[in-house]
Amino acid sequence: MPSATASSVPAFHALRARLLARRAESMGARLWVVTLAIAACVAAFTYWQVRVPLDGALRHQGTRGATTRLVVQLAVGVLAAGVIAGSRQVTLAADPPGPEWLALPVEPVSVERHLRSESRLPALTVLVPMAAAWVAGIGLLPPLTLLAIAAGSALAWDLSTRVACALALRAPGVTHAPSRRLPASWRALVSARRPARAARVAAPRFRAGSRWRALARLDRAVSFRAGSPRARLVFTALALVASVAAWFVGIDPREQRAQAFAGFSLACAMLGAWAAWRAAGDPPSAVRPLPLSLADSWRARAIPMFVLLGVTLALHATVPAVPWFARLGLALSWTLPALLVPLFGLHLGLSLPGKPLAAENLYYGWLGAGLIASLAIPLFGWALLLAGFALATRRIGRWKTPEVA
Amino acid sequence: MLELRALTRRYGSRLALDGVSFAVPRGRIVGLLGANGAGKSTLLRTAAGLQPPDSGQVLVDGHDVWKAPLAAKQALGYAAEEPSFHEELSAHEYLAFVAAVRGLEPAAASARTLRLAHALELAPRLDEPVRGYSHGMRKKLSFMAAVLHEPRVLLCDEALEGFDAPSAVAAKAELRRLSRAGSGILFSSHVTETVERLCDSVIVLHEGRVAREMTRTDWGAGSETTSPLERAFLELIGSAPAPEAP
Repeated sequence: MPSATASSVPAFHALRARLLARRAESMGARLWVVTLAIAACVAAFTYWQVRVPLDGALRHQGTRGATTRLVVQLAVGVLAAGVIAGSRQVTLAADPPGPEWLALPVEPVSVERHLRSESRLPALTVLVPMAAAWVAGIGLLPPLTLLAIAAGSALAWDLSTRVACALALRAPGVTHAPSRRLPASWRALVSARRPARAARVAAPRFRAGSRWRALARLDRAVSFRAGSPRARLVFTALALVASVAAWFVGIDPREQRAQAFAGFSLACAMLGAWAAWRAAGDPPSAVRPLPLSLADSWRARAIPMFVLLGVTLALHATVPAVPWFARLGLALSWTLPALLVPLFGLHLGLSLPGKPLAAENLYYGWLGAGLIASLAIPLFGWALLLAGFALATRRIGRWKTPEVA
Repeated sequence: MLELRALTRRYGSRLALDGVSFAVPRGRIVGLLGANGAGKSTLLRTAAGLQPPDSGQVLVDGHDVWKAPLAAKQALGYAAEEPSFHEELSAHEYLAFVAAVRGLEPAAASARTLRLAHALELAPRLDEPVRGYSHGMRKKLSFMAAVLHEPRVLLCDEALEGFDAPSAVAAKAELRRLSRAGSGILFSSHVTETVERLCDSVIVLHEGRVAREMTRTDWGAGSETTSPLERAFLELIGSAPAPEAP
């Protein structure tokens, strides 16, 4: 009988290689071009953002100050990589991809290594801005220093992602006594995919009413339970409170207004993310056979959002001690983000039924691109956002013909 | 009544449904048999409005599922093969939502929910979030949501798989009751014995086409290891079992 360790290591190597190859194939040429273009944009932006201050640091603080600055920036990247790998490891440990690993004759360490390599893949994205930041140091810092920084950063990236994965795999508490003695990966696997018996909730009241209201009630119930929709709503509420509170902090009215607008915009962005997630995330086999229309689905999300943002906007128009025309101007100028951003998220979600993750990624990607565009050319981000909104609205009809096979 | 007219559906180059046409009349339970990959689930998902056909029509009580979806789905119930739910909700909450969307009278819907939950032995777990449910319990919940409004057309995709014996008996009784009340039921299953006992007629799907429509009188006698319908089905798709030893 062959040794499990001896046979499983090359098998896992082959598996990883095949997985990488299949994923690369499945992306297709167009997505590769888009990904590379985004990577180039991120790299160029990071280079520009790092190069100019680094040059300033070199002039004012000398080589040592500039080196410290670059090292700190790369350390932030290393830390981000660790967080990304660790959080991915937590997700994978809860629902490990692949077969029932425990049913296979493989060593725990092989499975742990496999899960780790899968978790570290998303952390590779951090290498793009890190490399750009390092390149920004060329010509400013001595070559030997740069080489040492590159080697140190690569080592730190490797170490931080490994440590984060190991910690993430060992973190969950296991109440079942015999399971505690198992290796970490085994422990994670025995508790994964096993639905824990959840606590009871109060019995609902059966109610009559319009379909969109029923859907809105369902959204409310889903969103206030634990999980990502609740986190988004809590964050939205905090940002809205902070935006109103900004009027009471500081003395300079312009500063107050900027802070209030920042909080309000952030709340709009989070609300849009919630709308995208909920509109795209209805389980198809549970909701699609029901007599619900696109209008029901739109109203159920749009009306509660408008009510919430309308109330907040009214507060913003009444709280600050400024003349009435200034208040009116504020309310009118803030109506654009209040309408555009959440509706953009909602329309994206409706155009991608059954694909909440894709809807959310596209939403955040577009907002991020808008933010970068606005930093590069003032107000250009709004143009980008308007284009995204128009595109999402044009595609909204896809809700009627889902592809959920 | 459910009517499928020349339904065609492709997945890339593979033809999953090739001009499928048949009808499920009122008050009849029609079985849908087919080997793995024959197109049963594609057919049911297309009929339920989960995925559009490339061509053809699905009429539920005379309403096209894609042109008049609200009217069609008002009359339709669908019990999924792999049901998905809002995991955070309890079964009770989900059923209250389904009842509200379908415009059911609240008190009657609540009473029917409890009656079904007791019959399917789901009542003790009705107020727990679905994320803690086993496969069988999810299937029961999907079945309950599908029959809650006593649909005029019911689509069951491997609906009774994963049910324990008492619940399966109760579910079959409910299907019979619905059929007597005038519902047309399309019942897909791999278990030929269940189809044989439950269904009034059977449609055999083979490589995306209707190979044959059979009534009870058509499937003749079986043997010790194969039921009459099983034998007829295997012969039809060209996988007849080897002759049994005497």
